[in-house]
Amino acid sequence: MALIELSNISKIYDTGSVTVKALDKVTLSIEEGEFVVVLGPSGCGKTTMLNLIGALDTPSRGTVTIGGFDLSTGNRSSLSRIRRNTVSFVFQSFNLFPGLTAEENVQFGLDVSGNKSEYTAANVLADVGLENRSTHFPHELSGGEQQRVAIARALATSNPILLADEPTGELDFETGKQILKLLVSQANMNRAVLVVSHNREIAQIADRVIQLSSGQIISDGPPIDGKKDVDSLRW
Amino acid sequence: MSYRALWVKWILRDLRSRWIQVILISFVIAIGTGTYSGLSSTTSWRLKSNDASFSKTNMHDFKVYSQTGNLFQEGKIREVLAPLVKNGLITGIEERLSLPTQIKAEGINGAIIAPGLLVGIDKSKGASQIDKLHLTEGDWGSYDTGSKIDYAVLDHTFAETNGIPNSSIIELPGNKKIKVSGTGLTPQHFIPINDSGLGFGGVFAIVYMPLEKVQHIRNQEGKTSESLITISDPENPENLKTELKLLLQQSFPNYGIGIEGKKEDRVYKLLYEGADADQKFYHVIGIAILLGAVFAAFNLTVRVVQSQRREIGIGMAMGASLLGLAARPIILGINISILGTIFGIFVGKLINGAMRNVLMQELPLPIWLTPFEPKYFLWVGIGGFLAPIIATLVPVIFGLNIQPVEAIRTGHLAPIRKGLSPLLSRLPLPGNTFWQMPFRNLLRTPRRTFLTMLGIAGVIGVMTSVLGMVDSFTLTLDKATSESSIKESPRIEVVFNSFQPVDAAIFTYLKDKQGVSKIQPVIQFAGTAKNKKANNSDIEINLLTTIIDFQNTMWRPTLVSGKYPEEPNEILISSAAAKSLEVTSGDQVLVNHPIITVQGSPGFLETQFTISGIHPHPFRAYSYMVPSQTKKSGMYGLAGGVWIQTDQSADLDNIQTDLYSIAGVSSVRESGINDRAMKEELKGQMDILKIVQFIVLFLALLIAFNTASINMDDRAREHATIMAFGLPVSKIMLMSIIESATLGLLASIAGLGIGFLLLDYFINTVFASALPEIGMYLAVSTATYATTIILGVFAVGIAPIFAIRKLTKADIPSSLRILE
Ligand SMILES: Nc1ncnc2c1ncn2[C@@H]1O[C@H](COP(=O)(O)OP(=O)(O)O)[C@@H](O)[C@H]1O
Ligand SMILES: [Mg+2]
Repeated sequence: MALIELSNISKIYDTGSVTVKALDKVTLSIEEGEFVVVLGPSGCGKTTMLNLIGALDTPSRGTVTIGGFDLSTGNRSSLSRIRRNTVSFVFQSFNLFPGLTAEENVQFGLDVSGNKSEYTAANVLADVGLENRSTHFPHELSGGEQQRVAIARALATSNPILLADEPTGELDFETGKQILKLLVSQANMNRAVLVVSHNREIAQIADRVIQLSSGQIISDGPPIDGKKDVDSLRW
Repeated sequence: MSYRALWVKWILRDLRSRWIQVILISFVIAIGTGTYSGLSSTTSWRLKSNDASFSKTNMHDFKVYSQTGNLFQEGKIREVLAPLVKNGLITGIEERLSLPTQIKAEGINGAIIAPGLLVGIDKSKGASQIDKLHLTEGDWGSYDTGSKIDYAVLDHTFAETNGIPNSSIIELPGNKKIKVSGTGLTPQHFIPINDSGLGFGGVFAIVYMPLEKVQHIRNQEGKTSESLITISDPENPENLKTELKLLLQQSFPNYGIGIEGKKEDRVYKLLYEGADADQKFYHVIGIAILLGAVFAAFNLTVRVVQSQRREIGIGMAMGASLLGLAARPIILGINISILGTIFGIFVGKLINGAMRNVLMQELPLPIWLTPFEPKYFLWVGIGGFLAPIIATLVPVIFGLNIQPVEAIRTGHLAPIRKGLSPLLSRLPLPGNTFWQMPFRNLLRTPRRTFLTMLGIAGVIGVMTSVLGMVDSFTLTLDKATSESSIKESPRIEVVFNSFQPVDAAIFTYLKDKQGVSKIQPVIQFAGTAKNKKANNSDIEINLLTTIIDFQNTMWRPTLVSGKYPEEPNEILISSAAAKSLEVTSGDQVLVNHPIITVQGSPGFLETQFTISGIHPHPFRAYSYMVPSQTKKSGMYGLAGGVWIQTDQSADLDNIQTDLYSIAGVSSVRESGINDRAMKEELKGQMDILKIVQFIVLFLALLIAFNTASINMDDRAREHATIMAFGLPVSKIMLMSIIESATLGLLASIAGLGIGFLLLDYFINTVFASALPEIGMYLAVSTATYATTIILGVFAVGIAPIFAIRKLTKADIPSSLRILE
């Protein structure tokens, strides 16, 4: 069984006057070590999908299975365990802890997952190029820097699934490339990496590209022009 | 949709999402304003009720009596004062015979033997006209021709406290059986009082009977002990008083004529001064609760509005009108204000009701007027109304004053500004990041933490002071009982009608009496003392002086400092007296004490005494001198009473009753009876404290809960992020509890400090003036310290649990989506 299995997933939001089908009968499986880019216009259901995989939300129909565990059978504590030890999130809106410094936010990732590796929060922060921002609070960081801290926090957990919602959205070209390299290297360490983007360029470095439109998968496969190296990207 | 309609919708939406907080905050205000007005009203009630009760019973303006205890021939005073009646200066004279007595009765808790007063009331005009008896139940009894039994009206408080029903039989000395035909009150005894000047409700019995019955029972035919007088110009009694005194002294030389004005009456004074002292006490408690509550409500409102600061910034960035931006928070504030006022009146009425019950129980006046007093609500009501509105303005003005970019950037989650916060928030803390979070949260907004803590601390402080007050009462009572009692068996104190030579037959008789192991003749008299230094001479206190042989084997006071008197003109006083007079061992005081002159007539003399030492009994008046003093005061070889120590096996009640039947014995009582009276007195205070304690605890919980609930809202996104990382709700709850409990701990510690200050004020200022005759000891027990800390930590700590729904029902994806 694949690491991530979505079978016949629908997510329907009913706000009273309007019903939104954010996801419509999505079936999907992702293996360990796969680097997947999810493409699609804004509002097509990308974040919704990540939330379902991350056990943050429950589908209206269908089942989500993570590491062989059917999320719909999970209670509160088993879902917490999945979030703690299986998936890690880079949120589109960062969601850093305003009361913790950059390094402490990363440390939180280490602490919460119980990751006992030699790698320290400072090391991870250095990986995203923020070694000299470690004592800054989130409100003292630029949007791009906040985003990198959010990425570092997710990396620090070393969980087998990494979910990144528009991780390069706020980043300039050079920094964006650096982050993408980092993400690719995570996949090379046998993690499943799911990156959501609306940027077609990024899709070129993926093992697999999934295109969403109005909540449905309209294509799923390797990049059309073949997989490229991060260094060859232009945007 | 028009612009205005949009704002209206927005405002309504605010209210809908905040209504629980709006209600809870308005409740905090309501408890503050309601408690204050509820407690404050009592003073006005007491004054009104005093006025009405004294006027309804037509209280005398003057009481004429003999300081030496001589009795008057009935009608004699009326005769002497006839000219003044004729010219209209005196409007009424009524004679009474009041004599000390003992009563035996069967109450719900068994037999009672109590000292008391037998009061004969002149009913020759049908009913008494001055100091009228107010019947609370029954009547004077109907004397059928030939009926053997006499009837009496028993003091209301005594009957009620001891559960003595109407038509039960009570017994006066000499096996005199009397049927209780009713219960009632007269103004001189609205509060039953004995020589110690303490309220003696339930311990001291007043028995009312027709004058001629009392004269007959006590073999004092045609005698009266006092005359009650009303005058035409009660506002200016002084001249008439002088005139009366001259007139009566001429007619009754050697009587030591005393004329006591209405305002000098001890009960009258106690009732009005008590109302005054209550005023201070309730004011301080009420104000402390009010301040704590309004302050807390202010903080909470600020916090609610602060969460809109970012929106204000965005609005400013888009050029929205200031009025529009301010309208949302201000309307929220107005809502809190209106609800707070409505609830406040409600809480005020509730507390009024509780206080009304306690007061009516403690002070059985004939008339109780307890209307809702809007004036006490008015000012605090206005304050309580304005506080939330001002509270909403503060963050709005702050918000409008800063650059919009700042407001947008910071958001409400990280209001880190200048001052301590940057330093504190970097304070290195041990442990995991998530165990650090509670402390980081407290440290990153030190001012908010401090203000929240202060609000809770104020409330906890009131509670500590209330607990401390109970501790102090208890310690004071303990001091009294341990000082008064003899280890093996109680001491009976017998007072004679008049001085007896120490070799009189009665002493031999008592010594040989069955059950008596030891006797000790004593002299006890009332006097006053003041500091010898001129500047302090205005402080004058009452003394109840006992002359005893300090080497006696029965009992003697203990010493806290100095030594026992050895020479005449040395006196042992209480520590409370020393405090009032601002003196210590070795200092001089001027004592005004009775003497018996060579001619045998009593009088008073001011003599300089040296304070030899100080004893710990809380009754300020208790003081002691050596037997050789009697040589100086003409009392040598005499005794005014005797102390009796009984065998351990002796039946105390029987001995007491026997003693009463001995001719010349005027009162018999157990040595600890005054302590019991003090207990009764303090019990009334404790009842009120219980109400206060309850309010305060509730208020602390409410504030803590509000704070926790707002915290939960503020941190919804943070919590959602934590949950996304897989920390379970229980752990987040634990983090919140740790944060709250830490806040509670800080608040408890500060509260202890505030509580101690309040307690000190209550004991040393308020009680010192309310119950001057009791020297209160100040104590804060370990239990109080522990209770305060535990309750503070616990009550505040558990508050987040009540907001757990906010976590379990949290919509994680939605919370995470919001970009801030
Ligand atoms: N809580 C919600 N209630 C109603 N509609 C929602 C909710 N969350 C998302 N949607 C809708 O679902 C659709 C998919 O949203 P999302 O997955 O965030 O899109 P994106 O692909 O941009 O990440 C959008 O049309 C959005 O309006
Ligand atoms: Mg999205």
